[in-house]
Amino acid sequence: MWKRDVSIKPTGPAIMPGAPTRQTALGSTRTELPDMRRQHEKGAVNIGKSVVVKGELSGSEDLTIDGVVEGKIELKEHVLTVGPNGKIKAKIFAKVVIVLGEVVGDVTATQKLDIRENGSVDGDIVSPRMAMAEGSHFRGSVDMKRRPSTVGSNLEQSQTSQAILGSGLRNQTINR
Amino acid sequence: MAITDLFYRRHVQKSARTADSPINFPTKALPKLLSALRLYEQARLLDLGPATEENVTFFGEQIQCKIFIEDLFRDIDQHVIQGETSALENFFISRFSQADNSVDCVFAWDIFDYLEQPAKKALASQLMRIISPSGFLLTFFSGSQSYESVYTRRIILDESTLQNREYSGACNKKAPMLNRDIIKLFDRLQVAEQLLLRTSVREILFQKQ
Repeated sequence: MWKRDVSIKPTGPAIMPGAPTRQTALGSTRTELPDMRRQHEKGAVNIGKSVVVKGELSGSEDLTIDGVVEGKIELKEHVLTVGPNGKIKAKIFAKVVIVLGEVVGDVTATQKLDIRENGSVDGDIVSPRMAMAEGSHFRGSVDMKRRPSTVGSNLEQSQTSQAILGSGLRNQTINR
Repeated sequence: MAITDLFYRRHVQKSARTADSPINFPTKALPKLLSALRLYEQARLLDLGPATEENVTFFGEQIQCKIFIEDLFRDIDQHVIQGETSALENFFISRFSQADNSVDCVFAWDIFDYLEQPAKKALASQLMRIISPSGFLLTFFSGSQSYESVYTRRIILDESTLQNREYSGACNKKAPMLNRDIIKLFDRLQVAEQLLLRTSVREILFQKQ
């Protein structure tokens, strides 16, 4: 008689009751992994909420920060996620920045900045795209202008303004 | 079913609908303002209200402006909660770090409705200082006092339509200002466009000479 060996336990991730499942390309069913595990599989690094970093942080992979970082963060080609417990006092440079916690400092996102519900940013933002959820907070400046590769070049030029007072349309040049 | 029940149900449904659904209304000043802003290479806007994705995207992507967001409603709330509304006057005097004549347009929305006269004067004076020559100020003034502590986010739906979305705050609208008092408050600006909406809200676009 065949007897099922009950001592063998699965080595994979624990299946949560009621967790959503999805069909893979081969037709088998796989449990949807929690966010943190998925990040781990993708090779994303996580800075936990008890960690405090002071100084410059740079890398070439996605990063999730749930702790405190002061200084500068540079992930030019990758995604930076500031978790709900994350507190950042730093200048940030990344491809995509997702904020669920607090950021104080200037943010440069070459692709997108996403401030989620309860996320807060105080600082100047340079990003071609920006998303803000209800309940998020932002104070500072936003520059969404797509610039040529010479970022930081002085684009302040004399500008033409049209006064619309009264019936007249008059042109004048403003020099800043 | 009694007929009074029917009336009561209709009343409840109507009030629920108006409380939840945002209100769209036309704007006359905004199209004029936008046509002027489009002539700048990158106009500098100052928004005194809370940041909204729609407005930031509209001005950032479509009009290619640089946007400064200050959210003074949050500052007002903090002062009200701490019982220091009288300190708002001095607060506004030191609040703006912008240089003189450095901002091309200010969106004040209806912030003046929530301030007492000394704070109104201080804020208006600061705005007139930072607005550049031929720059603009867009404001709304309510025609009635409100006893509800509710603020309004004004979302730009398109060039001629705004949407009001209410959210709770710590302060209510004060007594409405007379038109002559509004003009006097912004004595260094001229009225470029003025519209009295059906909701008795006065929409005014000022321009600096």
